[in-house]
Amino acid sequence: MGVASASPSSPPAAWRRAFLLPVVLSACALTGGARGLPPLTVAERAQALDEVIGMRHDRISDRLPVDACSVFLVLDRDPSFRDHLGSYQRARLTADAPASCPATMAEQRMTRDGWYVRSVVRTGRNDMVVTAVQTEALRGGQTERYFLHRGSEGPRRWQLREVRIGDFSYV
Amino acid sequence: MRFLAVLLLSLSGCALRHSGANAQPPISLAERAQALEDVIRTRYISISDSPPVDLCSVFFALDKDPRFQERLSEFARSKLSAGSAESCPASAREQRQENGWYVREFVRSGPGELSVVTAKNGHGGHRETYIMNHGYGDQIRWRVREVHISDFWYE
Repeated sequence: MGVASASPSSPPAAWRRAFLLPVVLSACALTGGARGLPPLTVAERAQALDEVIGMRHDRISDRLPVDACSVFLVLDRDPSFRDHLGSYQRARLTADAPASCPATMAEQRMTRDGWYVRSVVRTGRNDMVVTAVQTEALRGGQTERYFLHRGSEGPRRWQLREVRIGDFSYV
Repeated sequence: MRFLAVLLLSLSGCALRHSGANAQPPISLAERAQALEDVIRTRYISISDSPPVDLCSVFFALDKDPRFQERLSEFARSKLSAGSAESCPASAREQRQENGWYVREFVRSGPGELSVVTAKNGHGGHRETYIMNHGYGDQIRWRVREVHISDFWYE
């Protein structure tokens, strides 16, 4: 019996091959966030946003301001959220006071037009993606993804590596 | 062994497919002109309206066609740097030594996909890659699907 159950073609071994491996692989894929990556701190998000806002206006497009409420919400509703940013970056935000901002990001997206910081997501130990969107009411609902990286040595500041702009809507 | 054989076959298949993509037809002058039209339009409407596209680079990108500006709309023409084709350097390589936003190359990156690469010399050193698709109708019309901006230069 023991010999039979150890045979490569025995049902338990076949079951393992057919089901166990895909289950393990799917579990690994689903728990991408559980790869031991630490959550982004407010300070990290603020430094990344500082970089994104500065580069956006300096190198990408200098026309539209970034919605202040979205920055407020992305920085955990920290009342001193503007202090986390440089003066150049602060000047690129819309002039809203936090008290006038909607309660949640979802609500804010529903009620306001503008350039939103939508999410800040860590994709690796030294990589993150900041997603910004432009509401339909402006110029077609563009999406901008800012890929940031920081070196493993030195000051370890998050720096912009690539921007991907998509979702163009032609009128 | 069987796994190894399947793996090798898959890899050869990928390699063959890749070489097939490289063997795609060259990008015609008309296609390049139409793609450039959409790139210039998208760049100025949706990305940034500040620096103009270098006129000479468009001249080279369109095979030094003396009537290259006529292939573009008035809007696109107005976004080219001022100057004339006669004053352009002899080669695209020589021209890239100048500062400005260049149309650098066209790459057919797959069936129905084209990439137009532009770059900036001098301050910034950006590279912009316009990834374009076209429909499969009677008339091919390239449209920008996504723009990748990279090679940021830090002071």
